[in-house]
Amino acid sequence: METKKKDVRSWMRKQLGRETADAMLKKLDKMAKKKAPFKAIETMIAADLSKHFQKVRRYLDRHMDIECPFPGKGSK
Amino acid sequence: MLDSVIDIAFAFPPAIGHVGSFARHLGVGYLRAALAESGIKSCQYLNPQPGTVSEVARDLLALKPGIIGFTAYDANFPLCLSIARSIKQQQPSMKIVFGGPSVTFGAKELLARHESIDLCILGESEETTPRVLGDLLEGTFPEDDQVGVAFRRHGEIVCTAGPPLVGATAPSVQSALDVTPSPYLSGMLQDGRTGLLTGRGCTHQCQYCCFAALGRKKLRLHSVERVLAELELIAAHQQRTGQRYVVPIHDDAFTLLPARAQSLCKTIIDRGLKLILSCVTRADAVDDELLKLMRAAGFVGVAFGLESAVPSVLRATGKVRPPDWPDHELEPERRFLEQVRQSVISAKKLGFTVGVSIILGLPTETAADGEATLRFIRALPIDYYSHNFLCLFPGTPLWDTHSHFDLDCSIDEMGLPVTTGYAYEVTTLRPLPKCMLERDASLIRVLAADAMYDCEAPSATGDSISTVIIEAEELTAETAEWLHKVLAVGGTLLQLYPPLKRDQSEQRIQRDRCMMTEHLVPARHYIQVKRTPTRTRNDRYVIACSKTDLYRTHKPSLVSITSTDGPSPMFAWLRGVSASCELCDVSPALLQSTELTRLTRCIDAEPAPSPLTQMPIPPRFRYAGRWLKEIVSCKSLDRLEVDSEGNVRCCRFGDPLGKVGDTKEHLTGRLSELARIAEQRRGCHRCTMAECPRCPFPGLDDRTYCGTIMQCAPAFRTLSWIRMYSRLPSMVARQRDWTAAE
Repeated sequence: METKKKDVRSWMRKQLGRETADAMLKKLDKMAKKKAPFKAIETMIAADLSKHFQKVRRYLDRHMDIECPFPGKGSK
Repeated sequence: MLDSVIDIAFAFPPAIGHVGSFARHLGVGYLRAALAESGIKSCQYLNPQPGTVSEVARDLLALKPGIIGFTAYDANFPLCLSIARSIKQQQPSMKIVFGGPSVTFGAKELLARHESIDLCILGESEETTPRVLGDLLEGTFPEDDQVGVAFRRHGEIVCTAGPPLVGATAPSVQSALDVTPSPYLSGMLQDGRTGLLTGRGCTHQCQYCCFAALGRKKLRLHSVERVLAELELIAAHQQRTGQRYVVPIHDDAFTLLPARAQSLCKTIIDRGLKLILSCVTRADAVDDELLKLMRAAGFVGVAFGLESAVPSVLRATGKVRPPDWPDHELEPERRFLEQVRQSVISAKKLGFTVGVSIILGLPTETAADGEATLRFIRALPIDYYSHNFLCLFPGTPLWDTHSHFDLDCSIDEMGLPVTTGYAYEVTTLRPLPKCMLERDASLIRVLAADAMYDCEAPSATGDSISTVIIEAEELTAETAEWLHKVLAVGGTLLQLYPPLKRDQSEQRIQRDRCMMTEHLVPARHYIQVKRTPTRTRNDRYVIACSKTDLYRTHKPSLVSITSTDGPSPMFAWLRGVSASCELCDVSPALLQSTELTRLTRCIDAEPAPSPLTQMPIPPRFRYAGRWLKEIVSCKSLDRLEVDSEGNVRCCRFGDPLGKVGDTKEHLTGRLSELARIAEQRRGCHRCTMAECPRCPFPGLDDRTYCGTIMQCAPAFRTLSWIRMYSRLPSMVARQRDWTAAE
């Protein structure tokens, strides 16, 4: 199988950082080997993503939300 | 009052574009703490997965409050109103009170238009609310001497003088706000994600700023001890729950008094509070030393308001000096711009996530000035920037003087202010790559693809109809009315238009948006999708959504989806090539399964799914629930499709469940019946095929469907893996969105 430069792993690393992406993919591999149900795997991914975004929430700053009626402010 | 379990229930409905959860609100926390001191019992309605508007109203009434209070901003006002109307329908005697910025400056307009609002509480209301609500619970409307309220008396609207600012008469600014009880120390709030205030108000003269109008340009602060006591409680909450999250500090400008900010940061460091904090501030109110201290105290994110990079525009806006300041050389503004540059560079070096906000369309600004601001932003090492257009708000100086600057505004039918014209066409300026709108655009693209083709539209709304797809040339009043009743709060509404001429389609899009607003459809996003012809066999869909309309001209790839009826993108991808289309249909491949089985075996032979991680993101499968188990395929009313004749289906391949106007209960009953008939007809109860998802509406005759499932079973596990990898971008975007909304 041809290996692409922009593969899933590098996409995940770009989105989540190397550490989180590699840990998630490793966990995913483990679950695959155990033949875990897909629903369980998806739930695991969702939980890990949630944890990750909680941790790096500084990238999701609400202060700059445009939906708020105040220019450049988030609703308090 | 006597029959009520609680005296007042507060609700903070989500704004348009936000996840549909009813969350805590810092302002309500303050108010509840003040009410508790007066012996008034209150609660905040919380619901991460609300149902329909009438279900939310029912939930609120079930709390048996004496009064229901809404926190209204312009962005969530339609939903506040919608729920208030439903409450009045279910229990006409219930008293409805609105508070928040929208009513502070627009109470007369809103009370004149909306009978469901009984009373508006204006401005900072910790000092006025206990008396007003106490009287209202006894059935008495306020007297004329009561300040800070607006209500109807004998058909006339009474709007009394604004309330006093909290702590305005305190002898010291440094602890002026301590007169009001703390939402954290009083136990009203525990989770620090709601954020906290170390001070209120700002002393600057920004002509557009609603906060300045609310705080009357008077700064009042909490004492450092009080802020620390709150932070300690939040730190204890984090330790107790094992959750680490960012605590946003919501001050208008956290470092307005740099010496006080320094002292606060030093004390946080001394006490060893391991918190993650973020704030907004002014770039001219920080220096390297303060930024270092902030970083050491736990600040990870800082956002600076730039607004414009043109000194004359900054002067006209009052951002640095008032517009009538005697110095005409604009030296303070030039210095401010240099300070923005320096502060961003310093903050970035120290490891902050740095954001900057700009506002286009400011007084005296020309298109060339707007471009200059964008050039200035481009040269900054920021992580993101907020690309805003000027909004004029009643109560601000600019609301009164806007006509001098070729700005137009009016009050819309709902009673809210709307800015209708700028001195130049602000939308012609192309947003830069780090614009926060890009994140919104990618999320809306994901939501559109999920809604159109994913059997399992991931639900943010619990056991409710969270997604409706309307395939019609126009949104009729009848459909909009029905959607208002059945669509869950925060759900997705997607309208798929047939190919239309360009001039026609713009008119339709605007007309349908008005129809949706008029009928108060509680959708989080109204995504309008136009099918556009291509030279290949692929379909190209262009997404129009008010939040990301800018990209339709400036970066069409961000607001378009490509899809094809065949499996070729998947075959291409299986050979290791990036998919030419984002969405494809695997059904034709399953019906002729030889090549598919051969290719999927290549992957099966490896220790799955490792090889997949070294391949591009796979194309998404359209209606994968027909073939793959573990996808909830058409077995709930989570997602509905409405055709041009008003027939309602849960899948385009299925029989109609009913017509527009039918109740959710009727549609649910019909769905169960059709699913049962399909299973009986196929003899599913006798079948031992464990891999079969038993899709009730596969769009194929029974024999072909069952035969294909039998024949292709070996490929299903691999296909499930491919599907899961294909959904990663969607999962990432959705989880990021959810976390941001918490």
